[in-house]
Amino acid sequence: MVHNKHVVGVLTTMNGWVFLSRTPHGDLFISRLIPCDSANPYQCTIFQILYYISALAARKIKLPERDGNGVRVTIPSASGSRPVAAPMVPGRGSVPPPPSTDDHSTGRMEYLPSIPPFRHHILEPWADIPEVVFEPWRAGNTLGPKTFLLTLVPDETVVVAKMWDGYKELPNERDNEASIYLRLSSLWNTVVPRLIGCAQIDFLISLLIERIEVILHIWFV
Amino acid sequence: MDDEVSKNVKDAFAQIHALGVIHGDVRRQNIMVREDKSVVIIDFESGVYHENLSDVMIKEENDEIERVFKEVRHEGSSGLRAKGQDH
Repeated sequence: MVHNKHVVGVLTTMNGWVFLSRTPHGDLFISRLIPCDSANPYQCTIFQILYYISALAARKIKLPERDGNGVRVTIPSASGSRPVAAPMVPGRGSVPPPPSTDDHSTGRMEYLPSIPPFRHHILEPWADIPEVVFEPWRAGNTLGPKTFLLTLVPDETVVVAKMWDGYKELPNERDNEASIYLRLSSLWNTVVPRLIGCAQIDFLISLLIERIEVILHIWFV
Repeated sequence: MDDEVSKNVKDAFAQIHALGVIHGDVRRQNIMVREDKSVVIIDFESGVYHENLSDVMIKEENDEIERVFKEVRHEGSSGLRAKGQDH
């Protein structure tokens, strides 16, 4: 990965898969071993993870390794004939940093201020574009095939996100739905949930609406 | 099925129609009920705005609402129950 300046990578064995991600200055993040037959509905399947990793890899972002001063460094290739210690990035301590206590994935949100064809409707822009915590593998966070709960940080607001696969779809459906929500803005918080905004979260085209506590059994009273 | 809920559902759609919007995908899953029996309509992916919404279009959607009511009554009387969900 370092030699080819790749950001993400995959290791696989007969029994499982491990996914890797590099950050600058010699940090390598490694997922737990995910069994080939992973089918827990609250976890991702291998196919879903490969889909996600492929989307990240398709961005073709190159990440050359740099030392502590930001100078690009060349790491020698491993020897194929004898075992040697893994090379270190110059200027980096030999003691690895403690693992982060954060176990969530984050995605950067992109605020889209106007949605055609109603360009005169502009939602209140975020002063600081929030980041999101998106954990679809956690119980209760998946509400439907493309509807999830996610958290906006830093204010920890839980919202409902409807997501379309940006790999395969244009944002037309999202934009149509957003324009309808804007048309119905006088009904927000009463018979229609409030539209929070539109966003691009990684490769997911997203529509964010407020979360509403509801019950269903009343249908059968 | 609770009469107050069904009245609130009809009122909610009437307010949406009054703003020129046809929902286009009336299903039980898209009608949320709060604890106080007020309702919230979600999922406007198939929604369409018309400057002059015709009575025919409104009637078609109201027929869909009645179909959902009938479905819920049928399932309620046959002992079926839906799983709780948020959206």
